[in-house]
Amino acid sequence: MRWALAIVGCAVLVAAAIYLGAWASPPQNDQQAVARLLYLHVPVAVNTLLAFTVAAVASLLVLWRKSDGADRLARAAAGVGLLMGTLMLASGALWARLAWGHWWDFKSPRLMLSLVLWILFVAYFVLRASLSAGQRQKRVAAAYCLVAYLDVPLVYLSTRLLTSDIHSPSVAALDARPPGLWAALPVALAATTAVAAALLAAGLRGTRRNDAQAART
Amino acid sequence: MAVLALVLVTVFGLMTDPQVRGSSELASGVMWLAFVFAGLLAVERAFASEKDSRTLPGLLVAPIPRQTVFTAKCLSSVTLLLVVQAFTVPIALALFEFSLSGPPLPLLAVLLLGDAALVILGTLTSAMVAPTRACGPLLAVLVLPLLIPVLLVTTACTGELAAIGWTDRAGHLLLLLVVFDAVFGAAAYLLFPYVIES
Repeated sequence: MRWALAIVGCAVLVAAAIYLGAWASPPQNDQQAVARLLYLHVPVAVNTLLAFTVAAVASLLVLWRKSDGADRLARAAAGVGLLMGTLMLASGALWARLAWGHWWDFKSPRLMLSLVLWILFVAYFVLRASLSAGQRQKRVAAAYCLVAYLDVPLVYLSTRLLTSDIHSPSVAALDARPPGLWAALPVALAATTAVAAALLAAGLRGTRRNDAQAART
Repeated sequence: MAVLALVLVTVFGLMTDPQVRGSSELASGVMWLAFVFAGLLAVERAFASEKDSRTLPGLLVAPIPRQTVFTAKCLSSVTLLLVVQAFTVPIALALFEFSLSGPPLPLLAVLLLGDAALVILGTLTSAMVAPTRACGPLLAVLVLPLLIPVLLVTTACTGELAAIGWTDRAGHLLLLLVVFDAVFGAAAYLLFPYVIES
C-alpha cells in the first residue's frame, strides 16, 4: 500500500513536471526550446550531489558506528547517484551540443566536476565488487567514498582556478527562459527528488533482502 | 619503475608532432603521466610485497600505531619516486626540447608536493586493494580519478615554471598543492587504520 502510494505520488509529480516543462511554456525560438532540457538537467544534477552527500554521511556512520544499515544506505544512495549522474551527463551533453555546438568541453569546471563525480561513483562500485563481502569490504568502501567526497570540491576549485570558463554560467541561460519556468523548475525538482527518494527506498529494500539472503546461505 | 617512466616519456616524445614538442604544457603533462604510472608501481609494491612474503600480519601486530606504518610506506614510496624523477626529468626536458627558465627550486617544490599527494592517495588505495587478485589495474581505476585535481595543478604549475619561470600564478598553484597535500594527508592518515587488513 505504501509503495502504491509512493508510485502514484511520483507519477503525478512527474506528469505535472512534464506538462509544465514541455507544454505549459510555449517556445518562441530555438534557444528556448533547448532551455526545456533544464527542467531535466538541473533537478537530476541537484539530486546527484544530494545522493553523493547521503552516501558520504552514511559512510561516515559506517566507520564511526560500524552500522550495517548505514552501509546499505550508502550503497543504495550511490546507486541512485550513479543513475542521476548518468542522466545529468547525458542531458548536459545534449544541451551543450544544441546550445553551444559541441558535446563536451574539458575546460569547464562544472563539466569536469560532473564527469569526475560520475567516474568516482563507478569506481566505488568497482571497489565494492572486487572485495570479498564482509566487515572489511564495508569499511574500505566507506573510506573510499569519503575520500571521493573530499575530492569533488577540489576538482571544482582546481579547474576554476586553471581555466577561464568560456561558457556563461548555467544560470545565465535562465534569461532565455520560456514563460512558466518558475513554476516548472520547482515542480520538476520536486518530481525528480521524489523519484530519487523512492528509488533510494526501493534500493534499501533490495540490499536488505540481498544481505538477509547472503546471511542465510 | 624508472625504466617504465623512461619508456613512457620516450614513446610519448616519439608519438608527438615535432612542431608541438616544444610546448611546455605537453612536456609537463607527459612527465606527470609517467610519474603517475611509476608512482602507482611504487605504492602497489608497498603492500603487494608484504602480501607475497606474508609479512603483513607481522607488521600489523608490531607494537606501533597503524598510522606509523602508513607514514613509513609513504616516505619509502616518495623516496623511490624522487630517484625516478632524478633520471626522468632531465631526459624529458631534453626530449621535449626546452630549457628550464628560472631557478630550479620551485620546480623541486612542485615535484615534492605532487609526489606527496600521489603517494598519499596511492598508499591509502593500495592498502584497500592489497588482498584482491588483480590489484594493479584496480588501483589505477580507483586512484586516477582521485588524482585529477592534483594532476591538473602539478601539470599547469610545472609547465608555467618551465616556460616562464616564477610567477604569481605559479605561487598560487603551489599553495593550492600544499592545501591538497594537507587535506588528503589528514584524510588518509585518519582512514588508513580502517582500510588495512586485520
